[in-house]
Amino acid sequence: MSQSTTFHIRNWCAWAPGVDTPDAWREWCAGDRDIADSGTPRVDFLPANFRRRLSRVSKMALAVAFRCLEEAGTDPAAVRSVFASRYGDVATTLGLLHDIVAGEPLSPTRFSLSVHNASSGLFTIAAKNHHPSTAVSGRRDTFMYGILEAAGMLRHTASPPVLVVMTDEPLPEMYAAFRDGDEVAYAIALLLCDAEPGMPVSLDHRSGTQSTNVAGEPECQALSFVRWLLSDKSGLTLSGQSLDWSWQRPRTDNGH
Amino acid sequence: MEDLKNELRELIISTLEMEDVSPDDIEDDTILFGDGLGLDSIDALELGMALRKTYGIRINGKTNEVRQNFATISSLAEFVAAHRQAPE
Repeated sequence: MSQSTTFHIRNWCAWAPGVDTPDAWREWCAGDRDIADSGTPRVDFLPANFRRRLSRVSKMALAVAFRCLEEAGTDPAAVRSVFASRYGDVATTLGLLHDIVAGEPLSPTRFSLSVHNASSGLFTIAAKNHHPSTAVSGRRDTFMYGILEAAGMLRHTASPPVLVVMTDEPLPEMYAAFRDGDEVAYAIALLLCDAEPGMPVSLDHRSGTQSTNVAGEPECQALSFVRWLLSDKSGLTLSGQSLDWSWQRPRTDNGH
Repeated sequence: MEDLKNELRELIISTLEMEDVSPDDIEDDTILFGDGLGLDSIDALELGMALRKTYGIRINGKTNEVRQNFATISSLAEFVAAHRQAPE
């Protein structure tokens, strides 16, 4: 069974440690640049009293969210938003669990921002945005479920456009046994809308072959998607946990 | 008391991760919450936890005059001096 949907990608931007411009991403695609082990994006555009509480994951999310909207000339208060992350702020959560085990009181700040929708809340506060916002997680398919959520919102109501933000960072050492191919930190934001301007794309998903092979898993979907955006290929198929996702776009547009 | 005030300046900056603020920015009578330094209710909880860890003070929202005691570095220092115990 196949489900097809179409929409436009008005703008996108991505950040990873050491790879934070379109040219740097092209070098990364060509194998001439690696994503570094550490690094945090600057979020100086946010007020100091707001910024100081943000974890690295939230800084990553807000950095790409605001940059993507600024480049598109879109008011940050005038979008709906979907924040996708497989693990969320797992480093903060693990720190809180360590505090509980040690009998230490929990930091109210870290506790309040350890929830999966922390970045969603922080974005809407910083942007003074009153439109719907949600946070999703979906195992290996987290990125695509974020896109699907946004596509559903666009299908339901054409405007305002929907910002999709995907972030993840490597699992802490303690959870090493659960690592699943996602060994780098990255953030990507896409502004999706139901009409021009933007690159028209169509998305199909169908039951795939259930992947049970953990060792040697392919690159995470969001980074494969960036490779595709910066290529001249018209089609892309991403194999997920139990679905195959097929993207199509006109052959000539390279997405930027 | 001056030593304690400086200790509290450092404690506020480190506990609340105020990387853009230096101890000199916080005067004895700078309003800590709201307009002055811009702290809010989550910061109050965080600061209460730090006072407990550092000075063994348990803040009781019902009996302590929290708003008054947390108003400035001066009032906070008086409060800590009067209630400090060996850290837990």
